[in-house]
Amino acid sequence: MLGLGRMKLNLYFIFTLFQLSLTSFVNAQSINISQMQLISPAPNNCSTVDINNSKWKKVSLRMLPKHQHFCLATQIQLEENSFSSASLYLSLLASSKIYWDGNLIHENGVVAKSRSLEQAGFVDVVVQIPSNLLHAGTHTIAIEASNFHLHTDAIPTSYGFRIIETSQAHGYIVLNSILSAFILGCLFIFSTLFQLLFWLYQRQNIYQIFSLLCFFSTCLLLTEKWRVMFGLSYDLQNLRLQMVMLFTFLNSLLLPIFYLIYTQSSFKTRWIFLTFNVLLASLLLNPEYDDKGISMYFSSLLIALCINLLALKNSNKGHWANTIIILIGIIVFAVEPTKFTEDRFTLALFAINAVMLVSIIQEMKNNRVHSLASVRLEAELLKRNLQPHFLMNSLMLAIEWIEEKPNAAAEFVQALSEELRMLVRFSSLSVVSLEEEIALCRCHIAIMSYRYDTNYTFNVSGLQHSIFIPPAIIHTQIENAFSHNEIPDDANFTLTITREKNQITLTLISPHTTELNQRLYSKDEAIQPGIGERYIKSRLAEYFHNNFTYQSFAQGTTWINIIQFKAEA
Amino acid sequence: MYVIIVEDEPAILRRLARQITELLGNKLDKLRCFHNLDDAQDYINHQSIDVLFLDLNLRGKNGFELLSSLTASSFHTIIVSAYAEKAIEAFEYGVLDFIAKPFTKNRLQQALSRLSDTYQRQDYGIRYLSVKQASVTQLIEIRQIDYIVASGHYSEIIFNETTRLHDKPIQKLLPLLPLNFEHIHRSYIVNMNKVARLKAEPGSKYILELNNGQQLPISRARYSKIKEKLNAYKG
Repeated sequence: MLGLGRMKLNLYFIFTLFQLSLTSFVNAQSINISQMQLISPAPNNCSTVDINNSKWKKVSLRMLPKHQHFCLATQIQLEENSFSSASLYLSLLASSKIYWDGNLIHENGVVAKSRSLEQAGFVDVVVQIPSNLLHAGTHTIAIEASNFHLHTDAIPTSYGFRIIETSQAHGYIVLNSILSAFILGCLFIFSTLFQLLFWLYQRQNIYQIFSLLCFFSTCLLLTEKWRVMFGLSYDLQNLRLQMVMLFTFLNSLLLPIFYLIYTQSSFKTRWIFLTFNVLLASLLLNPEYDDKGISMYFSSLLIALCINLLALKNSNKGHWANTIIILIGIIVFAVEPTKFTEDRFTLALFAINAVMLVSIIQEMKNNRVHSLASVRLEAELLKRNLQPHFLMNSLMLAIEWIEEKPNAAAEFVQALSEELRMLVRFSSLSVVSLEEEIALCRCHIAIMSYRYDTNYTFNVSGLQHSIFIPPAIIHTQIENAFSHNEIPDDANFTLTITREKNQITLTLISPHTTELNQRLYSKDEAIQPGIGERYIKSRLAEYFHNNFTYQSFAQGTTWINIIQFKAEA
Repeated sequence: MYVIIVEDEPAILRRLARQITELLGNKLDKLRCFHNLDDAQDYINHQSIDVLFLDLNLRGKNGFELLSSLTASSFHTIIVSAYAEKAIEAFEYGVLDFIAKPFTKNRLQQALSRLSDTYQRQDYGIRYLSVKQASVTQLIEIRQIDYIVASGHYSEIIFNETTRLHDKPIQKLLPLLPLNFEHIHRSYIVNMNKVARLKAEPGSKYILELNNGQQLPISRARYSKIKEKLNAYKG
């Protein structure tokens, strides 16, 4: 009961925070300060310098002195009850002392006149303003700052300076931290899980790529959110930005690679080469870190979208959910690129990875179904072709000939063993060359010629080379013709191979006795006509997915089987 | 004896014909061979024969669809097939024997010996007798049969107070039936499982009474054997 109560309380707390932060975002009561008066180098006491003094110079907070000890000051007007409780939020690449009407309200690091005396403070500071100082009227805010520890490449700037409701400030920080911690945790678990899957379950590249992608997403978010979650000393800001760039680069590179593997694209190397170059250009050509990051991730999303759209068009391995989530990402990104990089980036990264996870799990399920189906098809091929009645009938014939025509017996046994050998070998393969398949068919027709004491012929026309098909599918068609027909003596089977661009058509024409009475077909599995057809369709579907057509129909005294599929690129 | 063979593989057909001819010798009156069932059936419809040697799978045609109508005929059917796993089912339909391919001459000899009256029946578990009635074949479950009585060249099968006519004479039915069927009289075969008691009547007449009260005559020559059997059953 206690546990449940505590859980309820926690949920209530989070819910309230969420609501609070939402409402405060909507009715944001805040004062934004983007310009201040500056004196650099700073006089002895910033807090007491008169703001109307002519030494002050008006500056934008985006560009401040570098490696200096300086003073910033501004005046604000507060109305009665503007805030119930106000906090001052300052994001500044410097150590600072903040004065409110001459009272020191916060000290961040140690401000000093030289690098050796200065101690670097945090980039972000939130200070609650004592309520006795919050009366209506004009207030002077002064900041004494020094940034001697700033990295040589870094731009001395402030990312924001405002006065906000305290609840809003806390709500924002807590919500941001909880959300970030949750998503970081999830991504890290995905990453670990898929490393384990890769090493302990199945060495699938897609698992490794997804794991790395989740890992670098974790790193990216961690470096991105470190400032808010744990606080960051301002001298490390440049290092942090460089790390953010590195992880953005890796994420942007792995995202298209994931989809290339997932959609089984035929042009992996070309796409990876393109992505790498685009990312490198984005990294080198943009002067600002923010622009580098935005253009890298945006290009990556665009490339990923192209890969997915192409896959959908070719209909082989496309995944709608992946395409849609990327498209949403791109639209949100295009509308407000800067906001995207801040709050929405975390959610977008998580959403994309979560959809990827769903598609991988579906893939795992499909693989399992396929491998089971594959085992079943192998067994079916063996069962169908090595079935006792075929062997026994053949052995009966062998016995008769051993007694009556020993030479023919030897030839027959030779042909029989050849066919059996091929079938056993075929049964463990998922694909064979058309030449091999034709050899098997010839073997079977020879055996049937021996058995029915006639001379069946098998004519093949068209180019056979570089065509691959699932094993024993034409063989099964020929076998079906024998088991369900009374094939006249000296009948002919014809296989025609035609190529039109990438499209390959295999047409088998077999003799067919039209008076065949369907009623007389067996319900018995071993001689049921449906079994062979089912085998052919399952095998074709397993190998060509949906990219094939199969027709089987009677036409006068012939039976026609047509298989169409695309040649391998 | 008039024998016909239905087999679609020429070499096996030749082998069967040759060995049957050798084994039956002068007992063979006529032998006809067919490659397909339709021709054979046409022939059977117009010609009375004694034995049919039949392959079960003739180019996709299912032998079982035909078996019930064939075993309802007056001749015996011997299956010669590579589908050895179908033997039990074939016997259930009332074939005389099932020869699995590849077969030997000895096995063929054994099957042919079943045709003679002196052949010792084995309990191979026939489950049905098929009878034709107005061109429809009906399967009668063997264990439901009370007795069979001769009716000219045919037999009458009595079961559940119903009578059906079978095309085979009772001499030809007997080899098909399990061991609990006894020839008690020239014209009667009875299911011993349905017998209530044996009665002696004045004038050395012996009567077998069935569970349903039906009384059947026993020939004097067979009396002692029947009594012995009945004691064995009831004991």
